[in-house]
Amino acid sequence: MTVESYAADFAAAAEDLLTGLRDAEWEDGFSPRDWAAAEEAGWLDVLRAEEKGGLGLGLPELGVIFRSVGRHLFAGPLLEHAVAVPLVEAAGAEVDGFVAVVFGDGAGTRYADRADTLIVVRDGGVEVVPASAATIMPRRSLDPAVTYGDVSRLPGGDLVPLDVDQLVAALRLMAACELAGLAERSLELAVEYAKQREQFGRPIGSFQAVQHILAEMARRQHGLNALVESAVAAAGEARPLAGRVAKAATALGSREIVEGSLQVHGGIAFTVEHVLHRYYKHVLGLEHLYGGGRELSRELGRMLLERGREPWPEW
Amino acid sequence: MTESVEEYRERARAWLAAVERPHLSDDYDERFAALRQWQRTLYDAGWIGIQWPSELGGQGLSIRHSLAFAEELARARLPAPAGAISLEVVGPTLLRHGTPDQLRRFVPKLLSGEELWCQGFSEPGAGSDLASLATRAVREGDELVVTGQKVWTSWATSADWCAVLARTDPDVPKHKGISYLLVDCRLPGVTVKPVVQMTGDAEFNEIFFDEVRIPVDSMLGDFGDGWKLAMETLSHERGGYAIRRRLENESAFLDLVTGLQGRGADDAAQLVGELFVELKTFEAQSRLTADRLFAGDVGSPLDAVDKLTLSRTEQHLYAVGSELTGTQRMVVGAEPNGLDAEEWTKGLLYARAASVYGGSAQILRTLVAERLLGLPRDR
Repeated sequence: MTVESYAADFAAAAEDLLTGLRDAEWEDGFSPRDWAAAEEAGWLDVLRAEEKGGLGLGLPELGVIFRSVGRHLFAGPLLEHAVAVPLVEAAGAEVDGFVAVVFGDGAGTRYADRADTLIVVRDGGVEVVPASAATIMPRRSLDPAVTYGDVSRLPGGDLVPLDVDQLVAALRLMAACELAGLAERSLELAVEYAKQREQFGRPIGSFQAVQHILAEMARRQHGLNALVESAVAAAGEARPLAGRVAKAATALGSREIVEGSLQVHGGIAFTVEHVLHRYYKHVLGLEHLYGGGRELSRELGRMLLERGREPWPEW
Repeated sequence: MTESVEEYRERARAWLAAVERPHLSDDYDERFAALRQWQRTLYDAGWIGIQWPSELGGQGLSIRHSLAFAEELARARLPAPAGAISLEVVGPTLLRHGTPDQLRRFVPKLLSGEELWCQGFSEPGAGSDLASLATRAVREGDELVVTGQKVWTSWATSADWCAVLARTDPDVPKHKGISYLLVDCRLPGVTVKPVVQMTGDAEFNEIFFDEVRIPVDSMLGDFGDGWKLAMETLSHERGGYAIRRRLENESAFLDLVTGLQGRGADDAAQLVGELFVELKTFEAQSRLTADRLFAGDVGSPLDAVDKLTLSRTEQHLYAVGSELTGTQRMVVGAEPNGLDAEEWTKGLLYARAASVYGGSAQILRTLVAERLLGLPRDR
């Protein structure tokens, strides 16, 4: 079986599974039932090697799952468990229980409030430490699909050497796929709404002012889908580059697409009765995770201006 | 057996590295003559009409081979041949809808550059509302008599033939009464008048038809097929052209980076990085387009999406380049920040056309809304 057909199967299976779950209805960033379904479906095993009981597949396959996860606004520490955990395990560490990944000073760490184990990202590798050994302060989250906690007083741990650029790149790529999925569903909701909502005696989607917002959203979405599809296939030294580009593009693009959707929906999407606010909040959180659009673009620009015409790793 | 795309690319790269580069003068006529000769050089070496049938003078290879060559040509910083409109815009429609006689008559010379084509679509009163065009062709025996005026006709002074949309039946709804005529530009009654653009070049022209007599079979498709064929031609102008033009944008971006190298002020880095992200997105999008064209999907609303992305990216690219020349942006010969002010500012002027030609951005957004998203029509 080819990689492409694996990816297509994964996409269909993920869509099936997620369609059966409640879309986007979480209140506290986590649903044990839905998390169990994700585990059952093998999403946490996609990157894990076959000899470790995993599926031994790669980011192209996991990427289609993350796009579905975005489309359906599945909540849970999937970036942590489906991406970081298997990569850290592959470097030789044991990782138990519920995991959070700590960058920098640990403020506002996703899912730290629930974590049993912390993966602390350092230069040249990670430390794996029990959460009980650190101080964790749960924080109130504006995003009903994620919880946050501040991590401090981290104990020192043994450094598990691994290529941090590759780890971060994988996280960026999967976050980019999730963002593309969130945007895609927001666009679909806006198109459906514009066909059905009538004002001045006709559907608002017949007005050019509305059509042009939606057409521009669709144009951007087409580019983001193409980009994440291509970027997840980048391997080796091209992957960190692909991760930066894909995360930068989806960070800026997805937010603008969801904002377009909010505009087309008018007043209704400003209420909590409509699902769109959940998409918007989740996008706002993911936008800056592992680097925001402006920051990553600036980094890319600096690298380009240093390298000049020297060729880039191609993907 | 067909040469693989990668082998073909290697061979193209080697040939392009060794070929004598055409000398591109600042003078429009001299430059165009050089580009016409360049087309002949490419044709003689087998690099024109790559995906066109070999019995008509093409190479009988795939669109992937053709795009690989276009990529290598752009990377070698060599220009596109003179007959871009012929090869990328009029030609594909001719190839799909021409009769066997028309194909034999027109295609080999179109490929070699012996005959160049222009596209007579827009009129003073018919721009975005192209179907309201007023140029008419009246049948008199075995002839059609063509009268009217076209405008924004690129490279018409050098063209031998013009693909003209004309009204052949004024009594049916406007889209249905149009035919696609093949008009010899050397016939009596055809007058071409250059229009100088804001870049200083006269690539555009007005073209007047004053009772020009053409044989009645000098028509692509049948009476009344013109609108359908024109939409197909425009789709080529949008999709296929966009992926080729992207390559030129990519080369220009590399020039920008090379010019700025080592002068990495943070604001420049920010602008360059954002451009890079946009170009990589367009590149990924173009790969899907290549797959789509390879699969024979012609006339997709995604062509309009590609054209919209092209115009945005091109305008963004030249706006950044020109901006980074600062207060000297209008000064010919100035090179602040390692950038040629005239080149970047003229590029910006030229890029403004990108959201107008081949369907304005507004027309295209409406097309995307209706045909890609299925939104109800406004009319």
